[in-house]
Amino acid sequence: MARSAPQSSRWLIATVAVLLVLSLAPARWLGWTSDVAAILAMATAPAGHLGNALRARLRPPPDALSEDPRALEAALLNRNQYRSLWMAERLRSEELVQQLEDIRLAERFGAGTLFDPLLADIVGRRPDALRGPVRLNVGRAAGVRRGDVAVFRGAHLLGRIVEEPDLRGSLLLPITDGAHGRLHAAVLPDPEDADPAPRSIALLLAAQPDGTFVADVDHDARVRTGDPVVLNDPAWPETARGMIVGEIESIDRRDDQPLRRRVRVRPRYGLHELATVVLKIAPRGGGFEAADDPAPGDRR
Amino acid sequence: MRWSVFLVAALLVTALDGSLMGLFSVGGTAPSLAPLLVVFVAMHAPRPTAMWAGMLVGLLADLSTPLVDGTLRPIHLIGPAALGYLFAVNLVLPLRSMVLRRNPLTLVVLVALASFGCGLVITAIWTARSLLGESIDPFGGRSAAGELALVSLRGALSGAAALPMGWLLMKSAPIWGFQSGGSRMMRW
Repeated sequence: MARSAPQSSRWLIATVAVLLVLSLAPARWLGWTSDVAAILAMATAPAGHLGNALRARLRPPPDALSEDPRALEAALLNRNQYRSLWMAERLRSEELVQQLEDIRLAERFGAGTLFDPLLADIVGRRPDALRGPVRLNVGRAAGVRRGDVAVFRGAHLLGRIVEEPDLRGSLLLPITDGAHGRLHAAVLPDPEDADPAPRSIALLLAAQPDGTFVADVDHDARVRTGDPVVLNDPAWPETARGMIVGEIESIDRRDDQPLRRRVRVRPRYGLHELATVVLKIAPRGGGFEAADDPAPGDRR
Repeated sequence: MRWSVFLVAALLVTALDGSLMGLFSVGGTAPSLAPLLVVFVAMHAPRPTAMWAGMLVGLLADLSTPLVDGTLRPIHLIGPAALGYLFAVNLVLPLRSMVLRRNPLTLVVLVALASFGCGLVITAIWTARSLLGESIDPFGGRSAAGELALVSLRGALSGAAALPMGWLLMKSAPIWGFQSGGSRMMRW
């Protein structure tokens, strides 16, 4: 039952012309293509899910636990959660001491950063490269909203939901994507005898094409290779504050600025290596003030 | 050619390209099965059928490739991959009567060629768009030349992936209903 393709070369030429026009059309005319893509995603999601599961089985995330995985994993999750809370509290305390908070931020302190964790599977990636947003299998129906952040292993920040989600799908843009702009982050040195209450060191992270960030610090700043770098960006939701962006991979001198050093930060987990992520969404019963959070891109 | 079989294969390839193939990533890129499907059809189907099939595979690739613009709004640009695979089909069509179809390396070389040709068109279109002042950065901060290097690597990886996957595809040849029959089929 072989069927023939449309034979008319005129149709082919017309189609090519339409494709050429669409290829060069301004992005603001192409909003409708996301709806078409969402329909396609529904068709490819089951096979994509299987592919991701197989991939995760064949190549587990970098630090898959080998001994008593469940207990160790639970302990790691607990440690990461409490460490992130501790770091977030340290950042808040510093701001209080400096008396730089405004009333809105103070209100946030009162409300806390309650959230519900929501497990989401990655069901679609760019086929041609390991960059750009990924598609998740949860959307509005599960309570996902634009701006919600995704984490892994409790405290490692992976990215942020861009655009208003579909009913059962959403797009997550990795934190390493340059479209986020520069990120405000901080290194929190451990207390020492000589300096029991060290100040945080602010970093302005710029995303690099190789999936890392770079930032400049003073030459005498107390940063060391391996130090965790946490997000402290008011343009991101409160639930992202204190989450780990990555670890300092290298610290190099800047020949053009002898008083500055260049720090390279590498995320511990790459979004494109994972099969599942955890979204921090507003609690079903109440809600953190996501509506007050700046929407993605508003800072730009 | 049975379009129903092709559509299922195209959806499967699109899904696997966005999931499983990342397992074999090297140097920031991963092999793709889409060029293999396009070359397979171009080797056996009539010319117009092959061109429509190429465009359809490219359309699916375009729709599964989200990008974000300067306001973090996702964009699915329809056209670059569709035109890219149409170009790839037109690279393969003149060669199909000249190559040794029974040789597995034929598919490897043609898939690498098709993948590179497609990437070349995609890079050219995005470079042209950048001249229009678009705020989308499809190359992840790389230059167009850097992207072409990545395209070459992707072509080589896709060619390598064509060896085992092409064998599987050839085994499924009877259900595709190619009118040319067994005499034109590759036999590995």
